[in-house]
Amino acid sequence: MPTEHQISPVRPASADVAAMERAAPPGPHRVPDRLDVARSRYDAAGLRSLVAPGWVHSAVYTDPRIFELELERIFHKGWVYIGHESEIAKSGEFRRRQMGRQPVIFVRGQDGEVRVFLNRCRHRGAIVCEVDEGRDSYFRCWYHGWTYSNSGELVSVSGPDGYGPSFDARENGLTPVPRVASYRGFVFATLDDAVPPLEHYLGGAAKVIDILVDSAPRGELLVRSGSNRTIYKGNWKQVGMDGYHPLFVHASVLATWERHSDSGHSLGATHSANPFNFDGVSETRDFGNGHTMLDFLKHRLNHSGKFRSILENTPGGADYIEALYAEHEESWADVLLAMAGDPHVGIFPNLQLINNQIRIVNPISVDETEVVMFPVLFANVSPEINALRLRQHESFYGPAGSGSTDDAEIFERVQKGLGASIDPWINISRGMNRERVEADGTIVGHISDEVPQRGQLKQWLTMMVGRPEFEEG
Amino acid sequence: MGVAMTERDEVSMFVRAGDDTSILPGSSLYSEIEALLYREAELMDSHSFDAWLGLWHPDGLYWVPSNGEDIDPRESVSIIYERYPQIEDRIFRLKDKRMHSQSPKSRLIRIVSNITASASGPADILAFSTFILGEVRGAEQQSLFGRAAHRLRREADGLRILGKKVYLIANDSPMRNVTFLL
Repeated sequence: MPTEHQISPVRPASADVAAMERAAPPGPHRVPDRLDVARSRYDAAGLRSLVAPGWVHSAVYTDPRIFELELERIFHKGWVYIGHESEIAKSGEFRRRQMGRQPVIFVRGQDGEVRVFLNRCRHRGAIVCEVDEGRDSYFRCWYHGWTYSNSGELVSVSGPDGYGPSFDARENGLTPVPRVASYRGFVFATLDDAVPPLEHYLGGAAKVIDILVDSAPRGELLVRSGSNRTIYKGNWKQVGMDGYHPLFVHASVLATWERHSDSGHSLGATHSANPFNFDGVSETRDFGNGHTMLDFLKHRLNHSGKFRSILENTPGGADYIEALYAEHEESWADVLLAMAGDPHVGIFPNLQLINNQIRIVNPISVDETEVVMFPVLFANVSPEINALRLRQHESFYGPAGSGSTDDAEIFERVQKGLGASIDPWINISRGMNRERVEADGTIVGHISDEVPQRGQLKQWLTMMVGRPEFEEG
Repeated sequence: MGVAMTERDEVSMFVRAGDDTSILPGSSLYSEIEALLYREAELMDSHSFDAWLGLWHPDGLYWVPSNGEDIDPRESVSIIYERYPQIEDRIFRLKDKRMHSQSPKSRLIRIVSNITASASGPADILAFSTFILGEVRGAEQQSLFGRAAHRLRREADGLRILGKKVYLIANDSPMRNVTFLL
């Protein structure tokens, strides 16, 4: 086991560090020695010292210096989810989005092309798009009147004589982000042209995104129903994929579901019979690159009759079921119906597809995070099915929902607890004794295992040190 | 006069019809409405959950839109969109010690003002009011500003809330938990 797991490169002349260097390497059931990072430098070895098999140092969640590095090396470098093509279905439609600290505009030009631009006037730097969403032919900077088309060209400069003949408008259009790519309507962008293609990055997680897309007749999703914007005082990485917490964090919700187990207007409908039980068959998956999933498939296949009957009691539900079986192989349609179109997947670093929603995680500061939740509706289904999707979403998510509010409260409690940095290690070892690796490299554990936490952290470290050299154990 | 209640949908329920009759301040009906809104505010501030639920009509609709005031809840997401059985679930959870977002409970004070009301029929009232709601929880203080629309129905034992729509003017901004009664 490499010793750099415990050793910070800049060694404060303290007895603690000397003791640490002599200590045996930590394992999942032995708490690593205390590591005071107050004076350490976060070069590759320093970053590696924050991660040990089954453990992560709380500085990863609390140190503002780490947060700045994350923005630079994860959000300003790798693939970041921007939005869904249906949000800007019409030419000229736009949405404001964020890539780390970079404000960007997600827009469909007059030519029908989807683009992502920095939201910054090429003249003196003001944002040129000041509203969250809309539809327009132009973005105008109201500081001095420079005007850009919705395809990004600089179409007019006020008082052009002041710039002389050498001024080339073509070189002064809105700055496009270096690369934009889409997977089945999900648009990602990166500020660094050197990253591998999006399909490579998504890897095995792509087929899980298919669960949502294929659940819509003809694969047409509608992400045009507004959003719930929430904020909590905790680190962005707290929004993980965790199948160990529901019995405790969501105890009051589970109790409610037991009161009305057949209510279609709650997520209890798709979570029929508790899928989180310790003796249950639900799983966790780590697809690599930080993409992780709570996989309820085996559980839900055993309980798919309930969702089917809710659909059958909803106008248009029988047609919807028929459409699924007409469009897909029977076995895949069985999966789509059992899963109720819920991939329950996290795409590192800022996208989650959970139940009926697309969720964007925006890091604000080391201890503040915005989570924006966009319910996904289906084209080509009855209004009643879409209304059901909205009502199910609202029952659990959003700032007054029953579930995500308790999550946010617990994230804030964690952030406060991590302030006790004298004892800095966080235990993420659950299930290391029983996880298995499938042929394609996917790591699989029990629903309650911390396979996703380890998978996300592995990708975090890979991106933070800049090369894929991290190995567990 | 007005639209029969059964024909009114979830959107028009909170819109004043052209032929509705204004209920003038100082009238006994206006005072009764005012007293109900003040009483409701007090019950919400004091976490008197069952008493608050008792103000509702069993066909009640509790609606807190997201991203604006005039959205269509059949096509757009809300913050809360609940019929009476789901309101009852909300109360069940608010009384459950394991509702962590209310442990500790929010301390609340709200000022209700600017009440206007109109009648669509002898038992069918629409009231608008504005509010400022201050919340303190865990050493954090937040202020919420909004407008409420109440569709009230007269029953044998008094006015009942048939519908309540709460427009928070910050409902398109990042929000902390609003798991107390609005």
